[in-house]
Amino acid sequence: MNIQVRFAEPFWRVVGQRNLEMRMVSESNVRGLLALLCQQYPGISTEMAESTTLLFVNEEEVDMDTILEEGDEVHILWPIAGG
Amino acid sequence: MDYGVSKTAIIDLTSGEARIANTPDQLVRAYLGGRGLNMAYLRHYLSKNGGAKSIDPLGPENPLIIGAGLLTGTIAPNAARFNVSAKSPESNILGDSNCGGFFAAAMRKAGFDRLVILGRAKQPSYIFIQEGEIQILKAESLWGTSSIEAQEILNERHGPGAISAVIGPAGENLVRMAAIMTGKKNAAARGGMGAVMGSKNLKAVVAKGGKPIEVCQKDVLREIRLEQQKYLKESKIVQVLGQVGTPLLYEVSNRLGAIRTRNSQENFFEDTLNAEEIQKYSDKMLACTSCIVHCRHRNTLGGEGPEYSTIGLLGANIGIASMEQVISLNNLVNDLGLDASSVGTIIAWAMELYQRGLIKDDLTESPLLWGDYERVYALIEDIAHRRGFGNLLAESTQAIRFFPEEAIDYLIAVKGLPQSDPHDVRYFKAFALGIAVASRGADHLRNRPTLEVFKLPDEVREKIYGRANDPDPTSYKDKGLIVAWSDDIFAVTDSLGICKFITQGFNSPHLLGYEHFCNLIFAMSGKTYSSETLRGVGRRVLDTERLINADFGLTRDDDTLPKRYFDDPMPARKTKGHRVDREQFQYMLDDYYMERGWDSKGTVPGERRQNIDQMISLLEQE
Repeated sequence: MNIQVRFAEPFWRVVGQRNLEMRMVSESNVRGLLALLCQQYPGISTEMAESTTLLFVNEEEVDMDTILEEGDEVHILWPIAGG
Repeated sequence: MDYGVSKTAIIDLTSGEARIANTPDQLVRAYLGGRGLNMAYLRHYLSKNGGAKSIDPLGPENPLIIGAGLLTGTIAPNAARFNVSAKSPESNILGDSNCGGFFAAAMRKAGFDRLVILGRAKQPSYIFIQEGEIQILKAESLWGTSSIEAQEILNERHGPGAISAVIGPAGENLVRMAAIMTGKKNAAARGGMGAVMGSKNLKAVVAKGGKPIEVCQKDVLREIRLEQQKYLKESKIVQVLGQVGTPLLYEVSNRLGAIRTRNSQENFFEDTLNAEEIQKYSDKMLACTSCIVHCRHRNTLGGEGPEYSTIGLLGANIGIASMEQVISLNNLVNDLGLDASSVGTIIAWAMELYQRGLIKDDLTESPLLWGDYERVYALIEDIAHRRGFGNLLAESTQAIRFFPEEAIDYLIAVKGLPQSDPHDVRYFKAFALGIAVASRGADHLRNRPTLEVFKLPDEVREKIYGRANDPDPTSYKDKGLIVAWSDDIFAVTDSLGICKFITQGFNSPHLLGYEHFCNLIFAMSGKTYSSETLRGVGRRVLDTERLINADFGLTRDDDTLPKRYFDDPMPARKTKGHRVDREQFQYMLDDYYMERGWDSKGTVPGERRQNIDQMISLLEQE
């Protein structure tokens, strides 16, 4: 299945682009997606180790065990809210 | 006697006389400088000039106080800031605005830590300070110029090293949301301080530095600076702010469904206002004096910025999705000398009133539709020049008198001040409490507890706030504790002249906290503080502000929120369904007052009031 991934600051910087399409086996979960991303872009694991991460699938905030579906849009963000 | 003397210039524009006073050391110790000492001076002069309530904010009796922080202009990290304080013509209560740039460092190097400007000049004037001398000069040729033009003329007239704080047409025309500008974007914007300056026929204050700022232990200060700089540069938030500035916040708030959109009728907007869109129009990141963050964009449309607040309030909040158009509006408000936050909020309010048929073309002169960039551009110019419908909106929240009574239900303001930032506070309950109790009205820079977003472990939260607290940002529990904690540390940084972007609690659990500040103060002045006594300064500033507002007649009832935040659930995304429960809000308020040591009416205890007033009475000798 195809999953669209959107990286916000600062994660996109280690990927080199804001949006990616990832191919995954069906019934993969968010943890599997992140493992795959960390394998391809090792810098992501460093970023995630340094910061808390907000994970959204479509409109919902999710956790690592959330099962992904074909066409899902995963948004990886840094939780921040100043002004 | 501690090292260094705090110098205040007291300038009477009516008589044309100026004198210099040494601020009593006891007051410096108690309030440091910047916002803190400004509040002491404001309380003193409001009382001396006839009493807070009776003072016309646009009359000569309103004092205008420009105060640099204790560390401003030194090599302490991010120590560029100053506060401008007066009775606000926008809210008719305490007015206070904090600003960066290069002006305050120049003011101190010209020999003054603060200026107290009284009276009204007979003709357009400006103040020039250099080498401890004060001159009041004619400004007829400057009147009518934009904020940038005025600065260019003054720079040319007074030569290299002269830095100006000016008003644009909005300040001259007494627009109640007029800012004082220095540089292309740095604005003492909140509360209409630019209108107060305009009411005094004062176009500018020009400072030409040259005198070194006295530092008690230069080598120690240099060592601390290097150490703190290294520490701060390791911070992820400092690094990212230096790359994209505050616009990075938009994408996160928008994803949560917490962006004020179309006057908070909606809570998310287009992705076209994400930070990456700014990069297309940004050719450099700029900084203030001694800054190590460099958070400000130089945009290719000729200005600087925009910040997240401007993107939200002149973008999503009025339905404009083009980043180029938002940047253009950003540059326009800065050039005219307007507060982007108030302007974006007030125009959105008017747009909703028009949408609901509460105001019509006979008042607005032409349709007022969401996203109509040309209409908004022209309207902002009309506000600054007080033309047509713009003249009504120039009254900011006080424009309510021109509208039907129910218009108040759609106004996103507290205590008469439009909300400063684009974050819809209905989800994070501490954010809601924060803007409700902020001393200058709805404003995030008084106390926003941004750590609510981080899901920090319990032990980390306990260590920061001093006791265990509820980690759920949507619950009403313990929010008084964390807002009061944020109140105090922000008041201290505002009094030191340090930027919040390196202050613990603002977007990071790390950065500089009380211990770091104690070390900087000791190196700078030889004054010793413990973390607890330094927090005590923050508490004192909050008490003093509360006393000032009490004199304006404010009570517990004024610590409230816009009706929409109580009554309308957020419509979409993760925040869907959230609002602020009225009963639970009162519980949060009780909790907050207890944390502050105020009574259930929000009154400062008599003994603390006496101590403060006793200290402030020292100014009678000046």
